[in-house]
Amino acid sequence: MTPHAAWSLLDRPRASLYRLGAPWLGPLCADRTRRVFWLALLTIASSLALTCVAPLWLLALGPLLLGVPHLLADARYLVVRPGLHRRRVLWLCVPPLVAMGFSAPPWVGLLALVPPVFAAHGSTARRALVLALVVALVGLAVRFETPFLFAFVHAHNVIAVALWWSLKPRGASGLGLLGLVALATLGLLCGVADPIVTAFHGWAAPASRASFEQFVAATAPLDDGVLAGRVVLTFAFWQSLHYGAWLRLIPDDARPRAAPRPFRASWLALRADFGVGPLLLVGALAVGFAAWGLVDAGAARVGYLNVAAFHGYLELAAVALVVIEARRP
Amino acid sequence: MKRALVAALLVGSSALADIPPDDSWQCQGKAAGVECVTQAGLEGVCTSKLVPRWDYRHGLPPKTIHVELMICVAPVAGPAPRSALAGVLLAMMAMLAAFFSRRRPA
Repeated sequence: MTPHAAWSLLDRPRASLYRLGAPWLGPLCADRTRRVFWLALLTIASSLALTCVAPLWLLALGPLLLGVPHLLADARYLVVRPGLHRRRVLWLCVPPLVAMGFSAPPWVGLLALVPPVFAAHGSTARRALVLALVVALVGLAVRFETPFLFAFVHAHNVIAVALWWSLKPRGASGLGLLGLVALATLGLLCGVADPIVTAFHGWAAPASRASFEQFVAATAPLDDGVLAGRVVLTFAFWQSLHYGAWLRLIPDDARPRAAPRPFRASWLALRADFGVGPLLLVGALAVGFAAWGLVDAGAARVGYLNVAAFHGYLELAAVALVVIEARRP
Repeated sequence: MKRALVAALLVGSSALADIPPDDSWQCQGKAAGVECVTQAGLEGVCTSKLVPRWDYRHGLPPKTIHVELMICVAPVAGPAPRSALAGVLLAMMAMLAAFFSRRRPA
């Protein structure tokens, strides 16, 4: 069966569902702004619910199942769609990004922000400002390497949401979404979710082969054990939001056509962006990590983190370019 | 530290022993007494130690538990004998001072 035929086969039940829900969901599906708002609300609500009910499963399975597809989305919406791969100077970003996959220190990854400063079409003042920020970040990464790494682990989740936010002008409803996210974050940090996590036995999930202790060590090595636990919950929430932003919200907002498209059309668009070969490679990588996770979830997570180490710096480089060129991503 | 972070994520089988402290990754799977190199680059020996850590399994606040772990420990170069010698010298001086202070009034 060809990919076209497979996607067409999946489109049939999808079309039936749309027809079934058309009286209620029709206007929502047709209006992109409303649709994305509700999708964002659903992403926030489901992320918060999963953080409260099964935080360890969220932390353990998120990267293994959604990690590779979200890296593809990163490359698609930050590089391929804006045509950055056609600007030769920007290929200089590649060596530092690749080095991050081989455990290079964070300041090496930050060097990927330098080519955009020189390649961007923007005013000298903006270039100077961004270059000064890059130099300051490199200084911080050299002087405080470990704290920088921990801060970056959290910040890169925020960058994804910020990139989605800046794709389109957002009205009051958009601000409401941000307020909701801020409120949820504050609630998690203040311990509002603690009793819920306890009620659902969420502090331990032996079958996930992950533990809170692991994630405290990896994302929040604080002296205060209570605050460290809550920071891990916050990380789980934001990590889920960041996957939602890359896999659902950004694709929906960045698509030329306002209406949702069938699976087959989505596949054709993806194929036009990357070509079949790279897509097969990415598909194999995604299946490979998921299968590895079934055998040894801990090792698979570390393997994925090594492969994905570049993408936070890629996002920062894209932000640098966008800021200098004073445009939307 | 970065290796410790990776090691922390790598060990997934035991909830209690999955945050290796510094200098523990060098002794993973090794027996006590095996030679190793500490993070500071000193030659050491894998030694079994009780390490305190948090246990979140029962919620917040986390309990502190102690877990036996193999850690690379560098032998302390000299301070122990020196401090013993200093102690002996101090004791001798104290005895002499006491001896002379007693004799002075006489």
